[in-house]
Amino acid sequence: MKAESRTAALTIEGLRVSIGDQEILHGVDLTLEAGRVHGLAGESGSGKTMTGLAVLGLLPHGSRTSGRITFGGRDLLGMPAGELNKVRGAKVAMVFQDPATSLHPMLTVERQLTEHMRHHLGIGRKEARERAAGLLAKVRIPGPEEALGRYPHQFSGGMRQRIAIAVALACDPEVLIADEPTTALDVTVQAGILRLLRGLCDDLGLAVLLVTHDLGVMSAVADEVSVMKDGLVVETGPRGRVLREPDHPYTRSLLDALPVPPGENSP
Amino acid sequence: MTMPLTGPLLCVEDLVVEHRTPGRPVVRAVAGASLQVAAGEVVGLVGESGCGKSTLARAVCGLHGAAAGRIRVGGHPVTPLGLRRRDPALTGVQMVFQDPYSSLNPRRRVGAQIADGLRTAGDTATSPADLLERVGLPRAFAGRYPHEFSGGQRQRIAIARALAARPSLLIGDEPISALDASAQAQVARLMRDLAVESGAGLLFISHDLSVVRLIADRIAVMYLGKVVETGPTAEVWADPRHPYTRALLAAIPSPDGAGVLPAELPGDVPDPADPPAGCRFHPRCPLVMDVCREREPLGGSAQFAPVACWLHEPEPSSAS
Repeated sequence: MKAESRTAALTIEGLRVSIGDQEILHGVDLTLEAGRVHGLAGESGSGKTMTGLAVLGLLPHGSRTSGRITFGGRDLLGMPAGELNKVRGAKVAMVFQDPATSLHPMLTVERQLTEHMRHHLGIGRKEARERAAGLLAKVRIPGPEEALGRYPHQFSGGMRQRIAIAVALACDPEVLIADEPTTALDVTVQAGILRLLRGLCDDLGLAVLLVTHDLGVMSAVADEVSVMKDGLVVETGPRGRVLREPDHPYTRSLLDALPVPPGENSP
Repeated sequence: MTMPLTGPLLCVEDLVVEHRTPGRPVVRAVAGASLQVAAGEVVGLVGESGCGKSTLARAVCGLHGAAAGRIRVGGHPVTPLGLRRRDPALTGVQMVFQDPYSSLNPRRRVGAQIADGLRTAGDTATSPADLLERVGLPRAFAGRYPHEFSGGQRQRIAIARALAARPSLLIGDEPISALDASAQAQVARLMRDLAVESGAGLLFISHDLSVVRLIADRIAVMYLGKVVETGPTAEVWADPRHPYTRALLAAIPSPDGAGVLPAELPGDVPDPADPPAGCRFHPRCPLVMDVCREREPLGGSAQFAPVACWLHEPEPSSAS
């Protein structure tokens, strides 16, 4: 991997999504780079989640898209379903908001970790199991071997989200889309998950799209920040600049709306 | 501070609430917690999930029996809710639940549900539409059903229903955690304003510290069934004394653009069925001492109020 010139892992250009008569995204442009966390901020209803879902082709039934989502030289939007299935979960993975519902309650952790791994990578049961234990160790689940045989309800919320991240990482993806990964968690647990995400991004060279409404979370882990409003990206830039000297009045108003005024906590 | 001479409105003393499941050990969700709320005061109860905040709220409301300790509202002991008619003295305790998608009856018009509260208070002058107006919704919404509203609007309706009963104590059990981020601060402020305006006390439970900071006069921090620190919100924020409170506040990422990862509190909340010996926080405490492993600082009791920690041990002269 070249250190000096950043490689664009995934590019979204002029993405438009409409459901029924309503256009939800009006031309979104984003670039995700390997080894960088790109934060996507905005109020609920601004289209953050839709952008994430569009990349994986998980938009609600009946939605129409236009524009380009380029990954590995190919357009994900125009790809046939069969082709897309080879990319989804293998090269582009997703972590959802609520680990209580994103994991299957009746399957063991091992099954959830190895099923797609065996499908995408074509490896045997034993090898998959070893990999799965390694992944759980990587996301710092205590006792990975024993944890494989357990069910999601036997873990706490933070541990479940770690498992969900391990599931997403199972096939060595290049792009990870994390949709509000810490919103359902306590702040102390959130801190651990953010550290984990940042570490994985640095160690594995993942390109992460972090969708969150929490500008504090954004400030902690994101390298680049994009702010969305009503289906449009209104501002993009390095974290420090966007959060300290926002160009767009909307970003300014988001920062002003925070319960804790920025700078008050800093010594 | 705002403590009236007549004593607090809500007084919880050494409350113990146990969950019993056949075949499992007894879980002490609340293990000797003490808390006070004065009339017109907003107390924020914070803590990680599983620390017993909601169980405490449910016990105050009478939805859970207490295994030990006392709960008094306006001098009246709170008895568990049964099939009989509620003691009129206790209808002043009203609760707003976490999930507005399940706390409203989907098959009744919202106006009828708000009217239930009015009937409880024997209020014939106010109409449900008046209450909708107070929570910032159009009067005409009274004839609609819950499914016609968004989460934030439903929570406003739930608040209107609670207010209809003229509460002296309003309890919000994570009332904002099911709402969108943009609606959270609004609904929290609304609850505060309406409670303070009507002179009621508000016990606001949340794991979102930034919102609690915004609306609470006093803050109570709970860890594994005990209240470990209480104090005026600004004071606790500026100078947290219990190591747990410090860890909790340090974990909040600040939106300053500096890219500083928040401090992590290692470990998970221990199983309340098998709490650690000594101070309940000692396995995760960065400042643990020998005494912490052996003896428990009795949180909330007169001896260790307002900070239940050996680091802040009171002078021996004041001990028993």
